Amino acid sequence: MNKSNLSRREFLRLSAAFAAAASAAGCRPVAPTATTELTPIPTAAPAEPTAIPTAAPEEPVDIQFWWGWTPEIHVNAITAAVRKFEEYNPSIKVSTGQHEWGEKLTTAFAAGTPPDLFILGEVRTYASKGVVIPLDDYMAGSTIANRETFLEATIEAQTWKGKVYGVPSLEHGPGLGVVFNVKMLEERGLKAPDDLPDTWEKAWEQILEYSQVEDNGNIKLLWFEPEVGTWVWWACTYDVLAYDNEAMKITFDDPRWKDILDYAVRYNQHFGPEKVKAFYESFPGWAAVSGCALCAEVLAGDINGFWAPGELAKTAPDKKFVYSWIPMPESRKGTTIQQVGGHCALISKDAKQHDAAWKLAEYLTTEEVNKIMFDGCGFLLVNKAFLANPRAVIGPDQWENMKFYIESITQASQVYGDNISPIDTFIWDQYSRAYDAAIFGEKTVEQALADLQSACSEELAKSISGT
Amino acid sequence: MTSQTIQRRSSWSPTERREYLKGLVFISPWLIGFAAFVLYPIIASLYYSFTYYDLLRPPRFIGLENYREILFQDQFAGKVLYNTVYYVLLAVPLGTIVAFLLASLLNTRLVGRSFFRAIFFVPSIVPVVSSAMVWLWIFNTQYGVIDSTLASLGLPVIPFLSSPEWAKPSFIIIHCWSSGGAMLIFLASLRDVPMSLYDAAKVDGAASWARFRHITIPMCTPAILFSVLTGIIGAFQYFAFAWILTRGGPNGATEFYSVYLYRNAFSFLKMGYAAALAWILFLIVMAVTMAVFRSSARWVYYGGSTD
Repeated sequence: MNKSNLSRREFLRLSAAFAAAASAAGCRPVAPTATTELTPIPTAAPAEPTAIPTAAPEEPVDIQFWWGWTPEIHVNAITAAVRKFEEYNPSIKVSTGQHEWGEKLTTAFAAGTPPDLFILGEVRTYASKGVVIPLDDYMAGSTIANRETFLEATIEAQTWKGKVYGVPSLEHGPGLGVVFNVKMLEERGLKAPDDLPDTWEKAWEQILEYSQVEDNGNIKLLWFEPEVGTWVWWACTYDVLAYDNEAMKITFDDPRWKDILDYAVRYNQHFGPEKVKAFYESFPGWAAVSGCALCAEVLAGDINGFWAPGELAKTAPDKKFVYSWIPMPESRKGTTIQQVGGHCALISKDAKQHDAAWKLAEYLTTEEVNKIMFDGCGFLLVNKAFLANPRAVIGPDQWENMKFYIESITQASQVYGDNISPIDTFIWDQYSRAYDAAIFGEKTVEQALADLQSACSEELAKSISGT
Repeated sequence: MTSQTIQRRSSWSPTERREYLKGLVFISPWLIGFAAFVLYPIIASLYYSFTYYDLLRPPRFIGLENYREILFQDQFAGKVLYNTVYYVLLAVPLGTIVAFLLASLLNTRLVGRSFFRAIFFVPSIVPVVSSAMVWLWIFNTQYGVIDSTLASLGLPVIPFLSSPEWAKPSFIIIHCWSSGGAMLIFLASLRDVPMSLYDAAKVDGAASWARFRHITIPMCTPAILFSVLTGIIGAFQYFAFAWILTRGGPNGATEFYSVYLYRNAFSFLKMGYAAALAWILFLIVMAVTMAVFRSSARWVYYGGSTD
């Protein structure tokens, strides 16, 4: 399947309130950065969430706060958090709005009327163009949202030329895991976690053995969707980057990318690329959609993030799923990985109220907001405070399903953060083209990657230089 | 032709000037709207086409760089133009033929003619998004009505929207389905054909096909010209169905020019590049339109008096 034809961001725009409380629309999957040392998850009883007092500015101020999610459950949850903030800060009035994932936001920037604070994943897109302010000084002076509050990998991923421009906010959590239908495993005598694919080769063997195809070539049952079109997940498993932020260069010329696309070609050619695409026309991939492939049991397993348990609880309440580690290439067999990423709060350079905007951004990282968001729509903000006491946010009813994703952050051999480049949307588009060209045989894998590297490198240079 | 001496006035009388200003005042709402929402954006887009502009930073003048890149460097520009020309060359003639044939059918003494006229016209007024959702279902390879029927008959299924070979023809099918607007115009044109011509032809022994070929079609050529011209202009800007159904896939097979332009503008924030694409499209459409116009002297028959 090539989910990159419908990126998560576009899906989030299209999907309405499919899930109620405890369902989540997850963030975009991202590629690797640094590792981090973490403390294990404690098993003590959850503490009661407490209000975080914040100092009010001396004079009344108005600020604008935008985010991208439009479904009612997200809007209600975020608005509830904002109203709580206003209670603690009566002199700060917050006007809220949705920026619809970029178009309205960029228009506002072009018009010189950007929001003071906004939530987005593509931090470097805005940081590289100099339209948002670095947050290092604010973070250094904060006891709530300083550099130590967050996992180093997640903060490092929001830097541009050494400065931090975005602070993880509202929805920033673990995105890597396999999801498998328990009944479909048991029907074939398989048990989790031992029989779950721990390598891509094992996944391929299971795909061949358990998938079913009709006489006319239509896929009747796809055992496992390897999600090769979602390059960021595969990049984590191969420990390869698409964008090196230190060197500020595109790295699709790394030979590991060939292994990734070779797998995609093999997978698609086995079923026929038009059949794979047709399968996902019929059965949407996203677990939040009723009638999705997992819900309809035409797909036994795929790769999904922390949002999946909540989504499947709503769209497939009568089915039981198990969650485990994402498969790895043979060369990294035995390594367990997790990736923590998502959305961040950014402050516009042209905002009139930087201090007040920071106050709100700071508050949005608190446990209180985390609880409001998780209860309201299943979003999670994973930072060290959360990991120290996750059950303060995740209730006992949801813990069993969420356990793998939360515990994997501290148990993984390697944890990755976001790896968003200044031209993230362009890279996604170009990768999708290279992917399609390779699976449909228009180009060899080598040629597709070479063209991808060339196009993205050129675009990156133009974007950074502004010409 | 009578000769007239036209006196050129060097100035207006106060009354004429007053009348002129009154007229301007009356049309000023339209003038202001035109200037603000049509003229200014056109001029602005021309300017932006010579800049690098990503909306987040001020536009930076780069001369003809965008045009040079589109014409000589862009690896996708050729493919999207090919996709668009393919669509224009097939969809416009086929759509015109389907509309004309439907109009010809409706121009006969047919029971339930009003009902059929409405049925054929409705697709052209159904909102694009709604009809796109229906076509997604119709074309679905697993459970769509066409492929389900084929599968039940033991025939191979057609991967309409998931195959690069079939994707463009699928959009041409959709275009033919929505030919109701052109059909109505042809119907009006058919009604205008003088019966005396048919009577005379019958007297001369012309069969129905001969009458259709030598009377009906020539007399409708002005409407055909209009339909072809508007069809060409619309086809070159084909966007909505492609964006909703396939987003330009699979493998770029349905990435039409406007889809590519939109993507550059609103996904990649390359406003200057997209503006240059728009102006190149304008020049292409202008050239094709003028060519069709020039050719019309040979095949369009205007029944009125000629100079």
